[in-house]
Amino acid sequence: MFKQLDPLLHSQLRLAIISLLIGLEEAEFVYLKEKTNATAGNLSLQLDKLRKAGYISLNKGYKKNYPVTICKITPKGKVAFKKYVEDIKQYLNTD
Amino acid sequence: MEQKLSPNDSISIIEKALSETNKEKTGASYYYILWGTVMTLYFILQYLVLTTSNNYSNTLATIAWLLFPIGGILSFIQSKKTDKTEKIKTLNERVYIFVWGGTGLCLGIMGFSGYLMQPKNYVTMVLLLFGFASFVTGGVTRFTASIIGGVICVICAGLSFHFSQSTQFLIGALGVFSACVVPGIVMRKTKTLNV
Repeated sequence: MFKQLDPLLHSQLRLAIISLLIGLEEAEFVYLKEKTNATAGNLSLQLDKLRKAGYISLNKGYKKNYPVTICKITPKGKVAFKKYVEDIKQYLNTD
Repeated sequence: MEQKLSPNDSISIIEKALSETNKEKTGASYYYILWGTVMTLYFILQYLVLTTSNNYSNTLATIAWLLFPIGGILSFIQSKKTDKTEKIKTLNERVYIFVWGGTGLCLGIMGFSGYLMQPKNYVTMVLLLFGFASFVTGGVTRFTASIIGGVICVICAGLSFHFSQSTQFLIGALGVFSACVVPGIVMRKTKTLNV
C-alpha cells in the first residue's frame, strides 16, 4: 500500500525550497530566488504556503537599509521532509 | 503553475538542492589562515625572544603581543564585510563558532591566569586546545585536512613536554601551522565541501 505523498512538498518549487533549506541554517529570499530560478512573486507565494503549514519560518528585517527576508526550516518542516523522502523511496523501489 | 512530479523528478530536485548547499562555504578559511598565522608568528617570535640575547628581544616581544590586536581588527573587518554580503548561514558555521569560540575562551582564561601555570606547560596546553578544536571541527564537517592537522598538533603537544621552553615554541609553531594554516589553505581550494 503506497503512502500518500505530502501534497505540500510534492511540488517542484516547494520541494526545491525545502531541500535547499534542509542543508542550511538559514537563507535569504534572494538566495532561494537565484537557486530555484523562480520569479519573486511565485517564490513569495510558495514560501507563504510553507510558512502557513509551519514548515518554514520567515523573518523580515533590514540589511544596509534594504529589506531582507530570512527563511529557515522549522522542526516540523524537517520531519515532513524526512517523511516525504521515506515515502518517495517506496515509489522508487517498485520502478 | 505547479508541475506534476514523478518520484525520479523529486529525487533529482532533492539531490540537486543538496549538492548546491554542500558547495556553500562557511568562510572559516579566512579565520583559520589569519589566526593560524598569528599564532605561528607569535610562537616563532617567542622562540627568538628566548634565544636572542641582544637588545632586539624586547622589541620582538612587543611585536609578538601586537599580533593579537592586529588579528582582532582584521577579524572584525572581515566579519563586517561578510555580514554585508552573505545570503546564507550554513549548518557548519555553528560548529566553527562554538568549538573555536570555546577554544578562544579557554585561551583567554589561560592568558589572564597564566601566571598560575608552570611556564613550561603553556605551549603544551595551547597545542592541546588547538589540536582538539581542529580534530573535532574536522570530524563534524568531514574535513580530512583538519582532522590530520589536529592529530599532528596533539602529537606536537605530547612532544613539547620533552623539550626546553625555547624549542617548545618552535614545536608550537609547527603544531598550530598544521592545525590551522594548512587546513585553511585546503578549505579555500576545495570546491565540493561545505567548509
